[in-house]
Amino acid sequence: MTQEKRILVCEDSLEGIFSAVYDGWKECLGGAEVSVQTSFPTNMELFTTYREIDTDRSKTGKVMRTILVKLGSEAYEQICLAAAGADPDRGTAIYYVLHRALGHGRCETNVMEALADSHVNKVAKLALQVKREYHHYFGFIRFREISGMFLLAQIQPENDILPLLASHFSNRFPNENWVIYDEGRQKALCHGKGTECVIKKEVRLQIPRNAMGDRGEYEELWRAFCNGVSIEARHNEKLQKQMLPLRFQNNMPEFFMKG
Amino acid sequence: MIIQESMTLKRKLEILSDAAKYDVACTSSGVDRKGDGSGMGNSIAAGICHSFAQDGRCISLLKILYTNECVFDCKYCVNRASNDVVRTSFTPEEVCRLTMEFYRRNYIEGLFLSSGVKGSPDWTMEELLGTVRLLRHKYHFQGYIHLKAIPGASPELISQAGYLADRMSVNLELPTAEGLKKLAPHKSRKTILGPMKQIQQQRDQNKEELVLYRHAPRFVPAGQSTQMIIGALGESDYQIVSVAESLYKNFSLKRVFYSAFVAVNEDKDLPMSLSGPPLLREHRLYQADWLMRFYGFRASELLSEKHPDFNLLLDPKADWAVSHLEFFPVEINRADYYELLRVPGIGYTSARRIVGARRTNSLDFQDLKRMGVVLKRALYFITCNGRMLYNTRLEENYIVRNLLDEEKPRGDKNAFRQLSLFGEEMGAKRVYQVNSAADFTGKELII
Repeated sequence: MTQEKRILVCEDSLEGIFSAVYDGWKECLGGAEVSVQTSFPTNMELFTTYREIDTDRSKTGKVMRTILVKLGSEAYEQICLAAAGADPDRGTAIYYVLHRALGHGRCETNVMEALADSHVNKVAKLALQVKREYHHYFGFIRFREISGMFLLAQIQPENDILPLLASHFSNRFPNENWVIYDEGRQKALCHGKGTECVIKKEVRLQIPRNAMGDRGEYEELWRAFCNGVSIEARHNEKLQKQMLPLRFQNNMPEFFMKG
Repeated sequence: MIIQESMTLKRKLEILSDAAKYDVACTSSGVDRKGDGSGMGNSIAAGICHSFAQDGRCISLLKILYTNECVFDCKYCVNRASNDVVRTSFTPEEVCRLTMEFYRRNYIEGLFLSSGVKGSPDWTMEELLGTVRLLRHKYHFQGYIHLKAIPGASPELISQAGYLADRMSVNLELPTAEGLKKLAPHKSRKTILGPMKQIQQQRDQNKEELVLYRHAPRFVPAGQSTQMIIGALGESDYQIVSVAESLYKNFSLKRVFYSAFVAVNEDKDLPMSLSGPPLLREHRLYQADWLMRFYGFRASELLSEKHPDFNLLLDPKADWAVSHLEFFPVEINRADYYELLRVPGIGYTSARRIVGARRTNSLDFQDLKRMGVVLKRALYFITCNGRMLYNTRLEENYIVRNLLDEEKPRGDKNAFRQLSLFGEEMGAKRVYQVNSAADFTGKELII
């Protein structure tokens, strides 16, 4: 008889996935098919054992340290980035990549180069996607001043990129109070003047009308600038859309209609 | 020409950003610098695009002229002295305020400051220098600054500016010295190449200083760039890429930018603009530029005196490959990195991935596809374990026809018909009739 399938259900986060990797490390020995899922499935499958995994910080820490020490910082970065992705199968791919690299006492340091392996390929692709998205947001995030007290940016990223934005923006604006709010996940990255960033979960935004600190003066100037630098003879809206997809545009003042 | 004293900041910004738009270099790349916590800003080497204008070009820096008043009379320029346009200038405080407030809202990555020549080159350069100094020292701005060196400004000023800016540039304007004389009578090769050489030498000196003293001030850390106008005079692509190559080699430039000529003035020395700026030609030049910088091609490999212009229908790499079939097919599992780089459809990312992945197992076409190789272009030039993907012929005309069919460049499939090949077998001119391509209707194109 073939081995039955094992499904590990964990929290939808990097910590959750790594806890599942730790707790379920031995599950795939003996040839059973393993799947790591980040949400409880709505349809249960037959001939399958489900196991719920509790997120445990110490286990997460152990897994992360092992990856970093044994596989090096590049592989570590790629795997962590992939874990921040939005793909429901990312946990499974990460699980199998780690088994390929470290299972049975192996230590395949260049595992992330083996792109012909479908799991490695998936992790590499996800990592690239996440990297592209947060790099896009480095540029496309727009702050606006709220009541002269702090700067607020709202974003709707596909992947959970808030933690990845923290170091860049806190280094860039160390002496400002600012908040980046992920509308889909209802999480906020908050930075106070001269302090470290914190991520707050389950945040609801309530902005009073007329909260604009500078009455949009600089937004107006920015629009004037963007119109000014465009060359009519080279007009190419298709290229503009290709480089700056519409999903980013609804938070950017240069695309707001006048009035 | 009336200078209005009481112009609003918005109006000034409109005029001076409009006047700066023909400068192409809007990159914010080349330097990694962390903020030290005392001011605002940092810089990352990859550069960051903050927005894209309606022409699809990236907006990364606040690209403005300090003033559009100019004593020079360059025939291609909107701001030439003899043009009647509204003239205005920023004050240093205004430039700083705009930069800081835009930067704070994450609109921009930094400042690109250029200027018309008001009074004398030295006076203008001093104004630019003063502005940047204010921004760095009073406002503690640590973001990216790209500063133009004004041709003819004294070396002392340029040297001071280099310690404040991340990147500096002097525009070459035209690829040939005669062209420059004809269209930009107030500029000369000497006043342009002088500062360029100076920046290069000081950068080299600075590198040695930095080895000794890690915290020594850095001189133009992101390197220098330049730009050339394409299609204003009759120069060939071969001349242009040769000039670019020698700039990279002799002046260690970071980038050479090409700017398709846009007719803004009417002048007897300028070409008439019938079908808009030569954008496709500009695109081919950028492709060739990439081939020279990242793929190890030399200008003389891509073009020659006999074959002076790029093929508008095929990209330079594919064009090179079909006329050098003796290098192909390349075996994916054995060829070295540099051989892989020369295959159309394989870029430096996929070449690197191939070299890494084939260490664990031999690769097949499916694997290549997964790694991002553009198989529809590469398939004519590669083998995997000795086999080609399809039964294709290694024959110039056959491959060209298929590559063009694949891309379906504007128009129906029969747009490219082979005309005369009688008698001229080796090294024959290949002539294709182009029927439907809008740019060159009815012309015979020699490729």
